[in-house]
Amino acid sequence: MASDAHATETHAPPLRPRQYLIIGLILTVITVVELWVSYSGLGSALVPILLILSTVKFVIVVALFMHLKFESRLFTWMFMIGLLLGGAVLISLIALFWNDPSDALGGGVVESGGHATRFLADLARSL
Amino acid sequence: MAAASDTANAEHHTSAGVDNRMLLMWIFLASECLFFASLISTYLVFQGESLVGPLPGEILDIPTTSASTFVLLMSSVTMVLAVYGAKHGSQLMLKLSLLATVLLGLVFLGFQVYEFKMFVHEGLTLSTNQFGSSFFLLTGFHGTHVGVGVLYLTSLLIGSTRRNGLGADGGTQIEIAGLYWHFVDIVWIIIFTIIYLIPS
Repeated sequence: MASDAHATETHAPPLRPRQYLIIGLILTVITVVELWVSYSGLGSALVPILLILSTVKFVIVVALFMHLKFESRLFTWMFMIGLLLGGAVLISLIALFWNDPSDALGGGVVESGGHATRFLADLARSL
Repeated sequence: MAAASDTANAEHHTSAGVDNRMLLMWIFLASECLFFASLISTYLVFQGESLVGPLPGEILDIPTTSASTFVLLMSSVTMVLAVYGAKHGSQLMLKLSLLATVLLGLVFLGFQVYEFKMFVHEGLTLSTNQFGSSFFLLTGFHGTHVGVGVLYLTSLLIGSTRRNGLGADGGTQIEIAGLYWHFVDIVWIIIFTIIYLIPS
């Protein structure tokens, strides 16, 4: 019983059910906005806006539903390491295998080194 | 009895002061980030490479998938309410929310089966083109994760109906299952944006 009380005191969800429902409503509204944006034909702004909106949803779920905002920093670091390594895998694979249509002679054949260099150079330039 | 319970709980704590099962789940989820990152990057690398149809623009049904996305988002809300119920000793809230999460998970899987059947009917299979291969691989693995989650939550739901419920640390067990379920949800948030919303 003592342990139950301790567990409740230290690990009880910090938000109330009503707050969770409001967060769910916010996530739904963001999803509707995403849909609207995807049909709106915003041109070059479309992809960044959609990525920002999905990142906001991602952060809300991780921070408030998974309680990472209120948990030990150790959990945050563990998850961040996974996310950073996942991001590195994503960037590396795209850089290695991205088939640049401007390669007229390529015909679908990828010269990995050249693409990687060009991709990273473009990325550095955009930053 | 209280002393035995204290000892049992103390055994689950690491020297860092956190529950080792929670830490294990977070490390597992971190490894899952790499798994899904490789699948998503495969999809992106193959994007626009298909020589024969059906192509994404011709076959993807955004309104239907938006409905399934909404279902999965709502399952995250019911899951977090189940965690709240478990942590606050509300067995009714725990069981109802867990049941709702399982049902919503099944509805999501139903949407996915429907989508896969429609795609196969329209001629898109795993071997049709690069889009088919990478699409079925990515969404199929995500669906498998949802299926595993449904089984995981069902086992907890059955366990919670026993006379002594899930035991003294039932709240932690539900919270760990919740971490897994929310992770499946955030992976879908990314997949939904990349595959369905961003035009190829």
